[in-house]
Amino acid sequence: MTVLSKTLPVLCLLALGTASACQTTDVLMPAVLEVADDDTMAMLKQVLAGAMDRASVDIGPGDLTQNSVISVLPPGLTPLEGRSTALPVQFDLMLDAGGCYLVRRETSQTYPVDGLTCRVAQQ
Amino acid sequence: MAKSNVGVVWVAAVMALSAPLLGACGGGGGGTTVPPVGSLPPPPPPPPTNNNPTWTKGTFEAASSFKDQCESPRSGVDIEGNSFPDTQGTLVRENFWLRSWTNETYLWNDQVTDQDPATFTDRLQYFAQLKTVALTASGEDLDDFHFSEPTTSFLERRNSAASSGYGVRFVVFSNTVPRDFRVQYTEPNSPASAVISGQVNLPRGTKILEIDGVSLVNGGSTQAELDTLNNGLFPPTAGASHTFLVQDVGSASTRSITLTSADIAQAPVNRMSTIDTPTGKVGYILFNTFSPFESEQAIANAMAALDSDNVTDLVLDLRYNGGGLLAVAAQLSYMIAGDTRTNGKTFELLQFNAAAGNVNPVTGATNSPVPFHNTGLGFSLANGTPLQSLDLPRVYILSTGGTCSASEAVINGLRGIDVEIILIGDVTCGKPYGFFPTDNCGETFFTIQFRGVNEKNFGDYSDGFVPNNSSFGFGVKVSGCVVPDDFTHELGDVNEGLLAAALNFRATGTCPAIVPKVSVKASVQSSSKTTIAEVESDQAGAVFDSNRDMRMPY
Repeated sequence: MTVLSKTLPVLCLLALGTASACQTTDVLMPAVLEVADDDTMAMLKQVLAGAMDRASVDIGPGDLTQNSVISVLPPGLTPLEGRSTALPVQFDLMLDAGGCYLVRRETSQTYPVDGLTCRVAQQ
Repeated sequence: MAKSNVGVVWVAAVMALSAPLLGACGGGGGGTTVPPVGSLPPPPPPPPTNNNPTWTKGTFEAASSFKDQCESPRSGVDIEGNSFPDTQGTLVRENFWLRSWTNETYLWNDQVTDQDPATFTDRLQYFAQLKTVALTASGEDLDDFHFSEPTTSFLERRNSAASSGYGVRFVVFSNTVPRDFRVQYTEPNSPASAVISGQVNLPRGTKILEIDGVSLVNGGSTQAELDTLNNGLFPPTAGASHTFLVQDVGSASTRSITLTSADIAQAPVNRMSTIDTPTGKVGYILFNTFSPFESEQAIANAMAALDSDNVTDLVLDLRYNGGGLLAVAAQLSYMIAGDTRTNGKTFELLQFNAAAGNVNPVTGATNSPVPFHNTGLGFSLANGTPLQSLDLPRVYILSTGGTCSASEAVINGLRGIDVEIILIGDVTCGKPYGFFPTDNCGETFFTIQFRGVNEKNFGDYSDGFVPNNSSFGFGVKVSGCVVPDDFTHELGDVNEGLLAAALNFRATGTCPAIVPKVSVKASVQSSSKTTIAEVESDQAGAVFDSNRDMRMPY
């Protein structure tokens, strides 16, 4: 967990003067998908594509019902790109009382993934 | 897709809860804002300006102020589904973008002559002179990697993982009559490497004599014959059958084969083996590309297999490897050198122009060193997967002029942490540079934006790495032997010239006698009408693997 877990308490403190909404809120936890069928993956990729500001994305290897880390692949290389610095972009699947989120590691930005069912990842 | 972060999500919740308090104080309100009677509606946004900027020598506006302002804007989406960002502009504004982009990102931006972009009527001509004219120590152009291509072509190539063919790569000794096309190597499990009645279709070194009844050696005097030859050599679609008359190495007789094209993807690890020697096991890997994402898993699997075999030395065959993903090069180097040698060390640091400071001027990100990655990165191996290493203090690398870029980064990166490199073969291509291909108005531009340096801050090998006994007076000399590429044996055969020399050097510390070199550059780039295929195929000739041919006399 990066900036996220530090952000939540601060925001809860800000809200204390007006309500007690944060008292029962879970912290974000690493999560995995309940299922990783074609429809689920298509929905997930759509969210990831939006996060990457691309029309579509491919994701790297890994069973997302077992692993909470998602690698979004960069565009492919052409033969002329002999020294490419391209890297996959890592997202973490997270869960709190509000549902599932994708958290982009390098920026800590989160993206809600409505409609997908997640569960807390086994540690 | 709306972007948010956790902070934003929770701020929204807090604001919703707080709203009644605001209302109680009499603030807020809502509803549509109604303009006062008689007021004018808000003015429409200004149209895109076509006013051309004025050139002032040495003064540069931000490239972003000219980006995507095109003389002929594209509309719709590209083949990846992304909307074109173009707006109406002018040729002059396109040229001004090139000028400012070069000033911001070109490695040698202080060596570019600043000329008025408005005086150029062709953006490609303008781009062509936005480079240094300096030479390397050997007299080659320092920047021989300055080019562009239509973005449609660029996108088509990066989205075609497989291409139709037989899985054979030819080397062209002569592309004018009498032509000489030989088999350089074949892909595993391809039509070219298939075994029919105990005979491999196209063993290495096999000479192609005829295609569909037309002589490749002396034919092609008519367009119809040229078409037959080109279609046979480089079938544009899968499922096409063609008949070849071929002659094997050392054979006086010929044989006829029929090959049917298929969609073939290049195998990063073409072959590997463990070689038993009196002084221990030696691993051999023919690693032909760092480009496809599969290369990550392929090289990790190969190294793990050699680790299981308890090899004590490695011969890494990079002779035809023109590079690709720098991160996979860093992983490979880790798997050679191991934890102790690489821990906390830099594999490669990108050096940009002086004005960039510690920022990548292309991405805007902090310029952090590339480490020796010791886990999977998610290309094709799950992120975080530990990599196995051989923990070697030295590595034998087989090289030619086709050993380029990321392959040279392996050599330089390992030298930076004092892993001994023993180079067997020919001078490497000499490309310590890289770029970020960038589209503007339908053309994708490639301009050198960084040089890679190792842990010792060294990256000056634009004349290549050179085996120590070479007479070539330039480049960076490293331990090893000059050996010509050997087309008389299969790659991986312990009798193949480069591999045999590596094994011999390992056993005795000596090099074979230097033999006169046979040029393979030939006339592939000739514009003669009797040449075959010109540069239309990636399957013909190692000269196309790298952006320039840096082969040197021995």
